[in-house]
Amino acid sequence: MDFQPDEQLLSIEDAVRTLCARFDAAYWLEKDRLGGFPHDFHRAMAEAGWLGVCIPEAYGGSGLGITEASILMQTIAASGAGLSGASAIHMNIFGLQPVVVFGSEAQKQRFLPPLVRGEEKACFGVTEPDAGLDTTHLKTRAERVRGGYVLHGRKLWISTAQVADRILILTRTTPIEQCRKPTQGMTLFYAPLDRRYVDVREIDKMGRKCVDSNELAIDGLPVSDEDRVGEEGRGFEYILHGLNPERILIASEAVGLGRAALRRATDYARERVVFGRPIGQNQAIQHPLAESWIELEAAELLARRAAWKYDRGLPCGPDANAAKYYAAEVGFRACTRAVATHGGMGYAREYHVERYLREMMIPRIAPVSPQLILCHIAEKVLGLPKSY
Amino acid sequence: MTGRMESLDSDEKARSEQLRLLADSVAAFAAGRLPLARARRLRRALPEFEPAMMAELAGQGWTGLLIDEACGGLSLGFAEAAAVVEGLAAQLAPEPYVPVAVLAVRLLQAAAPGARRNALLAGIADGSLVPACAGQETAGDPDPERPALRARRAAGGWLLDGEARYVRPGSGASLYLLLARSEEGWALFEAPAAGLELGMEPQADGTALARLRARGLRADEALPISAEAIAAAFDQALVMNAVELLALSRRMRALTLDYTRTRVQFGKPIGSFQALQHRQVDLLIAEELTAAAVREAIGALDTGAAAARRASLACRAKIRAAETALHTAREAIQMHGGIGVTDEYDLGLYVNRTLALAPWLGNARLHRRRWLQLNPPTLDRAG
Repeated sequence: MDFQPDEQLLSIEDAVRTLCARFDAAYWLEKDRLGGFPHDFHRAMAEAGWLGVCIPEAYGGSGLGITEASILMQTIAASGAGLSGASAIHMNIFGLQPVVVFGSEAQKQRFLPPLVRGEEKACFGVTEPDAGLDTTHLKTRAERVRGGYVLHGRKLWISTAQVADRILILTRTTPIEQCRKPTQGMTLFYAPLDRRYVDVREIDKMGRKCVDSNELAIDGLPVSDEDRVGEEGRGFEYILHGLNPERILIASEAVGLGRAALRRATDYARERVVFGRPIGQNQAIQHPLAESWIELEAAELLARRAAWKYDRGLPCGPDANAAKYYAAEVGFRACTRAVATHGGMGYAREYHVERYLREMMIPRIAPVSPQLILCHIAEKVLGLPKSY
Repeated sequence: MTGRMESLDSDEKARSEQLRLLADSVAAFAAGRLPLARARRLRRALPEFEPAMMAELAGQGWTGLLIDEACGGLSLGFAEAAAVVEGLAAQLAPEPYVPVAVLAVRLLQAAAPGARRNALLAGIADGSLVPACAGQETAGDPDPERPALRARRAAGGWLLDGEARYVRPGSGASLYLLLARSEEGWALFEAPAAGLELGMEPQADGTALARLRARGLRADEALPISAEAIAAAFDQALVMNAVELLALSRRMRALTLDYTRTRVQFGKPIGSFQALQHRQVDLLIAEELTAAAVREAIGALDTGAAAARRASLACRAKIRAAETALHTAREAIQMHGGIGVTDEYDLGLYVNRTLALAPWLGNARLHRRRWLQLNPPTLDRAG
């Protein structure tokens, strides 16, 4: 066990913090009000090389691990960019891991460098209107044609599809009834998001206005064989490969945003004077904030441990799930307390914490519900019978 | 109309004035005759209470509060009984007032009138008899489907079999009233203390619950009683049990408030810290909610509410009272720190009595389940 501060991690944090300082609270407040993808932020991240943090050096990336990526995402969220900033690049950080692991050399040469340079943006197409967490029952189908496939179906909650050039999309190629196991017969593509065949409708939502979420209606989208990732029928197992890292990253984002909320709350509690003294002198104010500090520290350690295991190739399912569950819960608590500490001002947009609270609902709900994580822990760790 | 309203008003005023006088005299009596040192001394004594004190309470007229004047009682109601229960509970008197002056009295009153029944009631009123009622197998009401004790006719009388638990008082009862079921229905059977198979289950507070076994036990006379009357008597005892728990909550909170006002740390009373102030406010709110639930239940008993409403309100009072008392006990200890768990300090006496009384006649969970059965969710009251 070694808790010595890691020089490289500290320097990543420092560099990212400096970069994020260019995109201040006013910038994100404006984005939250008017929407519009934060292209300038995305570009700045690409220019500094952060988009390729996990991509192998051979394809223009830095070849670092999920530990480094989680420091990156946590620092972005903690800067006050929150989930708006994090989601703008989240998919590019680790979403293409199935391509890195299972793609051909030619595919990697073709797909990865433009992503690292920020010239192309990717989105992730798994969830559907009738298949949220029950992934194997998704209905989007890919039909074999000469030289490739044609895709039909619908996808829901696809982030950044308004601006994405390509979509990593999971489809069914063999009907579920004809498969030995429901997890078989699914195929993964990294397809061009050709808007002649895909209707992308933005979902108006509670928070994170500037990073769009969408419903996709796919009607005959042609995809060539060259854009199929790995073998036909094995898409589900390829996707699984990215689930744990995604949970670790989202946990880190929740910790970061929770810290941003806590910082604003403590600053306000120090400055705001009522009954002749700062409100932060009241135990009713300072104890909940102290509690949140403790909780966020614990959540960060959970996320670090999960990342450490992942980077060493160790099984980390329960760790990644626990980190995402706990970080989202305590991050939400920190945001709620930050709003409450501000009193009426907590409800005013100009104090920013209400935006954090709205954004913090994302890590609570996505990419997997807290209830399903509890099911996973109960079943896989505690050995209790499966309940669903 | 106006005249009638005024007379109702003046009746109400007269009763509340009478209640106030009663509460004052109970408080004066408790201060003089029931010091906490006495409760401390009587822990684990045999019997667990002083028969002479039961006689003193009878002398005040309190064991006969609910008993008809014809049988030597005062013919008063549950509001008055609650004033006595609260005063005794606040000073931790181990005397079995609720089991005897409420539960036994209400069961006997519901039995068919007769010489023996009247004599038993008169004995409770004058303090010469301290009967314990036995009829429960599990916590809560006696289950009409699964009676703990069964009776059958035998030459010249009855034979009883079965096992009853949670019998109060656990020691010192002068006779037992066994609630048993025969082919003919429910009845009370009298059994002298001598010759009974009794086991004692010691409680945290130094009193005990008795476990009574009957194997071909002979009884001469059956006092028939309806299932509804049994249910009513247990509900009435349950509400009085809630009154006791509420009194314990109040004392534990008062002790804590005193302590946090006087205990100085970092140069100031610890009660000046918000973390402790707010917790005590939470306790006060829980206590007031309990008091409101208990008050409404007592009102329902005194106005003869229908069975379902009476039972629901009794459940609610007990749920709130038990949870508030147990929570207050935990918080009181926490706010006292180490001294809260010393035997020398009085808080522990209250905590231990709370542990003994909270589960009696069924704990909060049991009564929550019972409440739900009484009030099944419907569409127009979903959730």
